Amino acid sequence: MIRVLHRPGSLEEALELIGCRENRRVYAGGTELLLLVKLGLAQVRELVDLKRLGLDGIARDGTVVIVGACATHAAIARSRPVRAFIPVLAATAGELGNVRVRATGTIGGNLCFADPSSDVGCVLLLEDAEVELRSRRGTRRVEIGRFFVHAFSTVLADDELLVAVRVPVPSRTRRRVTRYRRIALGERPTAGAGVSLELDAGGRIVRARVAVGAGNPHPIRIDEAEAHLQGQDLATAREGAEDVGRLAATACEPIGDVHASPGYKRHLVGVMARRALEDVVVELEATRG
Amino acid sequence: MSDRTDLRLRVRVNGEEVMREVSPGRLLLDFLRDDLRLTAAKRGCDVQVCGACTVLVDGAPVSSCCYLAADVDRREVVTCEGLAHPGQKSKLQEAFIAVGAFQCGYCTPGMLVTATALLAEHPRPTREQVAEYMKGNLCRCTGYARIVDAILLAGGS
Repeated sequence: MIRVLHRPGSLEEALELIGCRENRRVYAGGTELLLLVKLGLAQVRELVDLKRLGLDGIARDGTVVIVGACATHAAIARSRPVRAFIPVLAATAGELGNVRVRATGTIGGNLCFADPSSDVGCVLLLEDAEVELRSRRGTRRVEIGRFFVHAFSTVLADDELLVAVRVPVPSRTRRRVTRYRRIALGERPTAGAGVSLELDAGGRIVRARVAVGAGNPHPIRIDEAEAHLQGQDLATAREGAEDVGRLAATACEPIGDVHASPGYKRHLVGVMARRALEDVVVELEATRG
Repeated sequence: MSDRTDLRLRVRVNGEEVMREVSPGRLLLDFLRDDLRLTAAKRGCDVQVCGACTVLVDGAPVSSCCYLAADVDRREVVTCEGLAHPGQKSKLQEAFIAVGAFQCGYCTPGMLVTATALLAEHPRPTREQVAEYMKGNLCRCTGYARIVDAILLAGGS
């Protein structure tokens, strides 16, 4: 039962409140936490509302787009800097859940909840994002790939708040395309994978990212698939699409559920990775300078 | 219980200023239905999937079944009862009647509220835009075709 609702008006006040008591939880949109409380899966006596801390801004700061932890999915999907520089994040946020979840759910809540059936973390992994964690002890930045520990588990300490997501703006002198493909049953993604490729002036892949989102307990990069793509031209990359899919499928460890067995999810992850790569190649070929 | 700290809530609901004490865990749906006797919003799935409990908070559709009443403090809530002046109907409501976009009617208030938000965002939506926006509102009678038709009619197409 929720007995007390704290509504701090500043980050300092919020950091004072958190971490010092059992059964005290932070929330913003509440789309995950309130569900758990209602289903009896979380015991929460005290809530700390993070919506009055001014953490909902989205802005470009030089070479990085900074998305406040309390920015809603709808705000991210609409945001000019996100659409301009990280279009894959805008697209993913705009398809998440349903229109009501997007209006209230926040990127910080999504990441901290670390639901394996999520797309946002994987997309951020493809774009080399970092999260900024604050506590009274100080501030630290963590690469998104090191943030997730397992399903529903992150490196966030009890006294820490995720305050912002920092996404580097791709270089203008190189062409980068990032695509994420997922298959969802109802509103929850069952399997998802993405590919990001960046070409040099000669058309060689100088930066390759392959990552699995939904389908693994937490988002992971597929190093072997990335190494496979590095240095290739687009034609060779396309020929290797099956291999990339196979490597992604082999590397993930899906959790089965009522909708799909681990083996079937593994198969789907491979298909999503292959299609994401094909999408990226088609897009890069279409924009060839 | 003595250790519970109730909150004083000030909110505009369907244009009227309301002040109430609410418990911190009170859900918006219960606040609307039980405290204010506004029963158009329905408890359907109770896990923010079906859309039957949809209301607008500052113009944005939310699932009132998974939303704290405390979070509408100093904000504006519109329920299906508030889509038109008493005794009148909005263009969208007229369109639902003209097309016959009902079967059992349980999902209708949520459909109307969500579609109102859709039309505010896209005044002349395409069929695809309607289908995409309304994806999170379920009709267990599966009467979607006429619901989409009614929204398109209200949008002038």
